Amino acid sequence: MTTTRTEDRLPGVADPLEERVIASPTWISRTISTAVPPLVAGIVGLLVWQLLASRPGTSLTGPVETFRTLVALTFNGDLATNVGRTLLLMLVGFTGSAVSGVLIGLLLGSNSLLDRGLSPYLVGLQSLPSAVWIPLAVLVGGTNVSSVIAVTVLGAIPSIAIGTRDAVHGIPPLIVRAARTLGARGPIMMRQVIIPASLPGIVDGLQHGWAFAFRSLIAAELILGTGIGAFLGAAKQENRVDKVLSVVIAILIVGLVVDRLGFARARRALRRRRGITISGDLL
Amino acid sequence: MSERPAVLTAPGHEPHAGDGKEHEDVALHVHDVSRYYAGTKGRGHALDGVNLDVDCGEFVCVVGPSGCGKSTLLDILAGHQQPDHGEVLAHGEIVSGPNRRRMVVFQEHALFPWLNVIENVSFGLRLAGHHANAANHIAQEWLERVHLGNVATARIHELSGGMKQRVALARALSLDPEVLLMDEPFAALDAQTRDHLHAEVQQLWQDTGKTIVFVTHNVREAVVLGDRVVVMAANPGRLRAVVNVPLARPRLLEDPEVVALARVVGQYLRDGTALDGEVFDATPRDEAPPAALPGMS
Repeated sequence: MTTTRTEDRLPGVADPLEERVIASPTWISRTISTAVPPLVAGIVGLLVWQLLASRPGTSLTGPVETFRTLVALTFNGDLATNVGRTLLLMLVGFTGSAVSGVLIGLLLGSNSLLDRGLSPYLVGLQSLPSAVWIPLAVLVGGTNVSSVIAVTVLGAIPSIAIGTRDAVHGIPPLIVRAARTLGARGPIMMRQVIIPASLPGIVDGLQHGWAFAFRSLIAAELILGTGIGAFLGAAKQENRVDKVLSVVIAILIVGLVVDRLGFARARRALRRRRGITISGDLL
Repeated sequence: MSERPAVLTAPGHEPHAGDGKEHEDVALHVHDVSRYYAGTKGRGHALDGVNLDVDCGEFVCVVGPSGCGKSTLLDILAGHQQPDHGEVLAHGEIVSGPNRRRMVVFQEHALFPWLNVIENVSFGLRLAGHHANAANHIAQEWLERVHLGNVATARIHELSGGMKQRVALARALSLDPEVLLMDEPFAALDAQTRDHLHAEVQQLWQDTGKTIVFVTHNVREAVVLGDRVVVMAANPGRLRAVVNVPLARPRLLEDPEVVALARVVGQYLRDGTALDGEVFDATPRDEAPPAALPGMS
């Protein structure tokens, strides 16, 4: 039963595993080619920022001053505590919206009656800025953490649900027919065919949902006064542009890290396993 | 549904349709099956009054121009579509939905890209109640029978088109179905790969004794593989002729007898008038070659 992938192939059978190997560059040139473009773009961005900050009469602080503040805030622990609190809320809120959004999306995707009934409202909700939930959350739930979480969940559910529904609709019909022929029905069809078949699309939906959740959370925090949002509000009260910008950068970094280490990796792994990666320039 | 093309049968073949014969020898009994195009309220016929009996262990090929409903017929046999009129019996039972006893091999491979090769084959076995070990064992055996024992852990997208169809074949046969339904399974493959697979399918059929219904638009392929070739006509989709293929196996696409008989089938296919339900029987072979038939140029 020991099997190997590439060795001992049949004679006369084309071996796509080998044909597909393209001369791969060394890791040094690969690192350079992945690192240089964002580095150049970053330097250009910093220069523009510096130019904007050196206009006469502006209160905008330059990159150097801002980064000094950022480092100071990072080391005195203020920023870390607030970032940690925000990420904790994010974890709770995103988990809630992910679970409910994926469930709603799977239901809508596999039941056309529910889909026709509910999807118009879902699309409407998706275009609703999540900040409009904040007053409602405060009036109904009070000024507390659960209101912040509720706003986060509500902000992310529509895009996750719609992404999941679209992923289910995108499953090739032949796959479903083959599964049915092989005996898959009901819950088994859902668990062993529909969910794995639509997983790349579900992960895309979760990635968008994460962004929506993060925006909703920061908005809610800003108004209700917790975590990074509260910190941002305080910096504004103190008239500290450098502090506000430091928080903006911190939020950007958190978003980037989560995306690169979480979603982008998951997406790439899923796509590579299924042979649907595209590399190189399309145009 | 005005005229109903009766399926005549050649000498040596007992006619099945409507003669009260016991069901036990008949794997598939298609009785007066019509199917309308969606939304035409009975005006557009995808299939119009099709009658066909397929014996147990028989290899029947269905050829026809695109739009003649041959894939619809296969879908109905599989249970993925229901006929609007008439009925299909599989081993005496009315076909009302997909069933493990009638496996389909599709034109595209329809393998699951999230599973590797052996997981694809064992998928149906697991659903059929086999334990993981037993399912893997059977799956590995079938992969070896289609000469893919060494790529069991490869991912689907790493295989060539011919290998994918072999996996699909192994996946279908591993469930030990009574009937194998094949919908233009080799249409997208290169000629050399198709030759290999023709030989393998003939071998597998002889080893397993399965009943096979094989839909193709390639006349020669139909003659190479089939005991009988059912010729269909389009607009509306109906049976035009049934050609018996009494040639010895294994057959090759370039065998002169295959080429000659394929020309006859091609003639039925092109010349659509007044041939409904006609049977051309090429037995016995020492008579005039089929190429000398009237109407041939």
